[in-house]
Order: sequence, then structure tokens, then C-alpha cells
Amino acid sequence: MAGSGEGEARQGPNGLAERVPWLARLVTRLAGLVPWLRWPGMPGGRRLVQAVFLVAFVVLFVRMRYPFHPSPAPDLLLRTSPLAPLFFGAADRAVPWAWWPGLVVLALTPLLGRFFCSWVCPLGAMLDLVGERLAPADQARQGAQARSWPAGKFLVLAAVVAAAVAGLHAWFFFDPLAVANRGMTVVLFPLGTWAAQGVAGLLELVPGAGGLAGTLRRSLRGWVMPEGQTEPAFFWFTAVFFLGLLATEWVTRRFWCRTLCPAGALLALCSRFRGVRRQVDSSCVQCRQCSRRCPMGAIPDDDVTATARGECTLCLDCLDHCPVGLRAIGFVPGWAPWPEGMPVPTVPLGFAAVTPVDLTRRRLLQAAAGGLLAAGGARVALDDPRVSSQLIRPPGALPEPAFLERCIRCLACVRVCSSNGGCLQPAGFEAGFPRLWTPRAHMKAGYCEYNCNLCGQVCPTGAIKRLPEAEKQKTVMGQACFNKNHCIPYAKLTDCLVCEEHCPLPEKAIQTHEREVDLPDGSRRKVKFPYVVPERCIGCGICEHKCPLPGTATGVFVVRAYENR
Amino acid sequence: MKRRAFLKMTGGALAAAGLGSLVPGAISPTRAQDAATGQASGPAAATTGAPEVVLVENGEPVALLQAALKEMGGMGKFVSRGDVVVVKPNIGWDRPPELAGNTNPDLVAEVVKECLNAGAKVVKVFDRTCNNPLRCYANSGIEAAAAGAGAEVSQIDESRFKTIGLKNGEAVKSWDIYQDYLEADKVINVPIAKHHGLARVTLGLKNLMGVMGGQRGQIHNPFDKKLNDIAGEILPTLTIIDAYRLLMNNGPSGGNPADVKLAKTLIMSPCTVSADLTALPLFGLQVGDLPYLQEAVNRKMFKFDPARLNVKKLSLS
Repeated sequence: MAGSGEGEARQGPNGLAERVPWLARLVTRLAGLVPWLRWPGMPGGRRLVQAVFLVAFVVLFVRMRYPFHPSPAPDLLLRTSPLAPLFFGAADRAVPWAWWPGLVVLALTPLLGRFFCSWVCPLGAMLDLVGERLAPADQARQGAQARSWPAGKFLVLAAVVAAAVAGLHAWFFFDPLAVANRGMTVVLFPLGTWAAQGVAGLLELVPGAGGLAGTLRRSLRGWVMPEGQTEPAFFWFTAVFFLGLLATEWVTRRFWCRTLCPAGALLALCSRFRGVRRQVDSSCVQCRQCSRRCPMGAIPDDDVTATARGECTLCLDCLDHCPVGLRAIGFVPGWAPWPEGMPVPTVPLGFAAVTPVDLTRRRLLQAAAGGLLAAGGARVALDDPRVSSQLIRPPGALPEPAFLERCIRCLACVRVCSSNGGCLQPAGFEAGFPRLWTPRAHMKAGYCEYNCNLCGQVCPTGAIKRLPEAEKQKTVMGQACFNKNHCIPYAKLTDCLVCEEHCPLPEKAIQTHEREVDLPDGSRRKVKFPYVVPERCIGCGICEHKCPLPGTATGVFVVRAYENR
Repeated sequence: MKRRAFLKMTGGALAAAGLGSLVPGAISPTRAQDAATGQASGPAAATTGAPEVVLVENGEPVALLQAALKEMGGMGKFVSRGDVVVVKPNIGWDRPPELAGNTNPDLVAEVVKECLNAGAKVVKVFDRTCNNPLRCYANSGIEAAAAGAGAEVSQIDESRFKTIGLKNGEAVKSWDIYQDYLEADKVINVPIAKHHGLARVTLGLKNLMGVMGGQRGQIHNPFDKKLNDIAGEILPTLTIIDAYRLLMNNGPSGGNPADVKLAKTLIMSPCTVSADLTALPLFGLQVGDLPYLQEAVNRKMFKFDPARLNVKKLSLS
């Protein structure tokens, strides 16, 4: 992947400008407007847009609950993922129109480069928040001199593509949108609401602030969390993973985006012939501030006139740090001639202009081989029946192999379920690596609300089908079984029937059989013994959830059987 | 620098204390207990001339209520000016009104209006639901109807339960009861008459489970004793049984329109046990068929002697 020559740098592919002059004029005009996107007089228009997208992401997340708001779609921003259309389009051999936000991102990238990363991506915004507000402002973490390994993300991309070709879908573990939503569901939302309640509790201790505390509680309840506090399973590992990812900001600004993010790698590849490039003119005083402050390390320290096209996210921070201001740094069409009197960038171009590393073919092949190996390993790995017999999937989930391919582990279903029955929880290591973070129903944590079909409504990938309510109510997730060793009427010869009471089927799937039994004192008593009518039971698990017996001693439980998927 | 570190540490400790106060149990003492026990002998108990139980048939919910209240002498007999009133419907299930899983929303709204007209300072409506509370409140139609009538409709806050001692408890000696219920001056119990697998029929007494906290499933055995142990301590001022739609089978959750029978009836009594007894013929049952109600009668949890119950029946046409 060596440099492809200097002619390109000096002149660029000029044919376009001659053949489609109107397009060339449009791009030139657009490029000229880029610096103005900072919004003069404001700390940064880019930050404003980024903040709007982050707030929209959070608002859509919070609205992902009962009562359901179908418009705008709660998964709208999840579908900006540029990776998903690639993988799902390839898998389906069809243009994945459902992912139109991601397609828009992909379509704009050849023009604007990795603008997605600093303008749209919610994970990028979270990383910026941490990197700029929390982590100490250390020069060594910023710019071209900071520790990072830009080749890494291409290797990750190569590995996940190779694995996907061989049948193992692992890209979503690194998809920034899925990562962000996973972090929101399991870590940030529970911690955030818990902290807000803590502040309210703290305010109550302050004399005279009781009213304020009440207002805080009410608004929290009214706007953010009408349901109870959520406590997702698999919290600790997810917290370490997600907060650890945010904490990489202490090492290097945008370490994730520089080194690991496969979406960033894909967008970098799309930026190969960027329509709009950064341009430094002769008024540059070579102070190197832009190189040293660039969050992506896209500007080489030894030549500030160069820009790695695949690393630059058009964040415009270089403009903010340029002491000369707009005069030294501008944005021009990719084919615009190099300004008079400026030396042509000395760094090698070609692929190295996309990303400032010597990414060798050998490394890429090694990564792809790793992905293939993982796929092969996953294929020959035996299914662990101790796990598969227990994993109860959401109603409408695709058959298990298709489900595992389709589910991107964004946990939107878990989020929406937490405001309903609350049975869906992320699977942890107990389910094995290929099933990590997939939704599973834990009937002790909650149960499937009979009238709820929201997990399918919010699933961005169709891993859970969008079932109409009436159809969902007939979709079998599993089957209730009585444990007669524990169940109170069987084990203690006395009535209970909490399970039967709660069974939501119009014709109850739990029926009772009344028999007279002999008691130790010689007397006889009539007891109602419950049993399951298999044709009616849909495995919603409310019986297990409401069983008054504790923990694993529950008298009735749902098994993964008879599920229709 | 050192001062800053110290302040940070103190702040952290304070924050921890603040979080600690979230833990339930730190509730200020109330006059709850007296209010709850006092309810059994509300103002209506002293009245003479009014029937002990009113049963009205053949009308729409609002008309049924108005007719019954007229017989009873008006809501003013039960609710005084400035009272804090709790109206306790059954909002237990995520079902629309047509499936008769919950109390009729029009009836609840009219009860709320009557309480406010009688001078109630505030009318609170809540129920500890079996399905998701937001869904139950919305789909039952009760949240919108009651709030529209001027009630303060709120979700149960699990931190606001208070343990009360049950001095006559045989199977259970204490239980958690919702604080707002205990603190209310007057309580109007508005159950819907429904089939129930274990209890046979759920009426006024069983509807009180909606203000009980903890693991309510444990009340199911022995149900007859535990229910009366607890309900006997928290009897309401007035019980209004909604028998407009009866759920005849697959209760208490229901869901099958074929199980719903339009009975267009309402029963009202200041005595919960008397009201429940009067509702039994609607299901073709007698007190002996419902061991828990028999137990309540045996314990003399009534205000009016069941053997000589003065039931005023009237039919609207």
C-alpha cells in the first residue's frame, strides 16, 4: 500500500471539474462553506450539531419505553451505523433500505470524509465529553504525538469481514452505535437515574430543599423514568467494558476511533478520494498547533500541510487552534490545485494519505485469517445444552442461528422491556461468547407482558420480528412447568394458585384439578392442584415471576420448549 | 489543595448519606394507624334510617351510583369537608374496561366527583397492580377518567409502605400497607365483582389487597386467614361494588369477552362484608362457597348482622 505519486497531490483528479462543471462548482462552494460550520462567534458549530445528535440519541433512548412513541422511530439513530448496511446488505443480497440513515452517511463520506465520527456518532460525542471535560488536558494525549495504532481499526474490520464471510457475525461487538446503546442500557441509564435519585435523597436532607427534592423526583418520574429503577443483569462486566472504553481517553484522545472502530475504518476507506480536503496556505507560520491538537492525529507533526484523509473527521478543531485563523487553513475540493508558494506535502501519499501508517498486506491477511479462524472455531464449537435449553428468547425472535446473525446486541429490546414486563436481560458469559449480550428472558427478573410487543417494535435489525399484538399473544416463547417438589399445593397440600390468578390467557393455560387429600391429623381437605394446558401456554412467565416461593425453589418455571420461531 | 481534598471527601460522604435515605423504611411517623382503625366506625355507622346495603340494578354506572347514593343519604354522610379521601378501585390488570378486569372508569370518575362535591380536600386514586402499572392505569381507562374528574392519580411508590401490627392476626402478625391509604381520613373501596380461581369471587375484601405491600402471593396460603387478618385492620369507610360488567370465568385477569356478563348492577354499603355478601347471588353463590367470606363472618368483621341484613333493592328503568 505504498504511496501512489505526487501528481495526485499537486493536481488531483481534475477530470471531474471539466466533465461535470456544475458538480465541481457545487463542491467548491460547499468546501468554502466548511469553515463557516464553526458558526462565527460561537465556540463551535460542530460541537452544537454533535450535541444535538447526542441529545437526540439520549431522548430517543429515554422514549424507548411504554407508552410507545412510534414516531420518530426510537431506533432511528441506531440505524446511522455505516457498518450495518454493509453486512446486512451483503447477507440479504439486497439494498438494506431500512438502514437509510447509514446509507446517507456512507453516501456523504466520499465527499466529506469521516464527518460522521465527529458530527453524528453518539459514541464519538461521549468520548469527546470524557476527553475534553473529564480527562486532564495533557498535550501528550493529543495530536499526532499521542499513542495510537491507526492500523488497528483496519485489522479489526478485516477480521470481522472475514469472519462474516465465513458465517460468524462479530462486527456488532465493535459497532459504535450498538456499543453506545449497550452502554446506555446497561450502564449509563441505570447509573444516571440512580445518581439522580441520590441527589433527590441528598436534597431532602437539606433543610428547606424538600420541595426541590420533590420536584426533582416528580420530573424524573414524569420525564425520564416512570417505571422503577432498572437493574440489568451482566452489569459489572458491561460497565468495565463500556466505562473502560470511555477511559481510553486518558491514554489518547479518540483512541477508540483512531485504533479500534471498524466503522471508522470503513469510513476511512470511503474517504480515499475525498471531495473536500483540508488546505494550508502560505500564511501558515508552522506553529504546529493543529498537528499537536488534532484529536485524531490526522496531521503529521513534521508536515502540517498534509492531512490523513481517512483520519480527519472534519471536526475543524485545527481551525480553532490556528493562530492565524481562517487565513491559513481552508477547505477546498479534492482536485483543487496546490497553492502557489507552498511545498507539496512531504509525507507519502496513497494509502498512507488515508491513514498515517504503513498498513502492510501481511498484517491485513493475518487479521483476516484470525477472523476466519474464529469463524471456523465458532462453527465447530459444540452447542452447550446447559445453555441452549435455558435461553428463552423474546417473542418473535428469529430461529437461533439467524437470530445470532441478526442481533447486533444493541439491547434496545432490553431497554424497552425494562419499562414493561422487565424479563429481557442481556446474556452474560454463561451463554458463551457467541451469545454475549443477546436478550434472554429471566422470568424471576420480570415476565413478558401479555399485551406488549415492543421488543419487536424497537429492534433495528428484525432479529425480533415486528409482530402485531394479536400475533404476539399467540407466539410461544417457552412452556411453563410445575415443580411438584416445591409447588405449594403439591408439596404442602394447601391452596395457593397465584400462578393461575395471573395467567393472562383468555382461556387460562393454568387450570386446576380439585382433589380431596388426607392430612396428617386424619382429616381430609379439598386442594386445588394446578397444571398446565400445553396448547394454551405461551411461556410468558408471569406464573414463575409471581410464584411466592423464592429463588430457584419456585414452584413453576418456564423452559425453552415448544417455542415457535 | 488539602482543603479541596477534604471538601471533596465530605461531599462524597454526604452524597452517600443522600443515597442511603433512598432506602425504604425512613418514613416519618404518621397518624395512619388511628385513621385506619377509625374508619371502621365512620360517620355512617351512627346514622339511622338509611339502609345498610343498597343494590341498584338496570342502569348505567353513573346512574347506578347516583341512585345508590340517594338511598344512602348522599356522599356527605361519608365524606366531610376538608377530608383527604382515598378512592381505591381495582386497576390490577392490563385490560380495557370491556373485559371487566378492572373497575369501571366512569364509576370511579363519578365517585371522585361526588367526594369532591362533598367537600373532600383531595381525592387520591391508586392501586398496586399485578401487570405493569403504567399499562394498567392507562388501559383500564381509570387514570384518565379519575384525573379528569379531579383526582390525584398516582403510581404506587414502593418506598411508601408502612408496616402495621395486626392485633387480631391469626396467621400473620404484621403487614405493609400503603402510607397514603393509612393517612387518609376516608377510604372508598370500589372493587369490581369478578371470578377468581382461588377465592371463587373477588369483591370488597379482596380488593383491599391492592394497598398491601410485600410479596402478596404469600397471602394466598392460608388465604382465608391471612386476607382477613390484614383486611380486618384496614376496612374502608364505604364499599361500592361495581357489578356493571361481571367477569364470570377466567378471572381475576379475564381477557375473554365471552366471560363478561352485563349485569348493570351496583352495590353500596358502609360495611364491606355486608356488601360482599349481597353480591354473591349475582354469581349464584352462597357464603359457604367462599371460605374467606365465611371466615370474615365468623370473625364478626361486619358492622351489620348478616342474618338480619337490611338490603334496599331498587331497579332503574
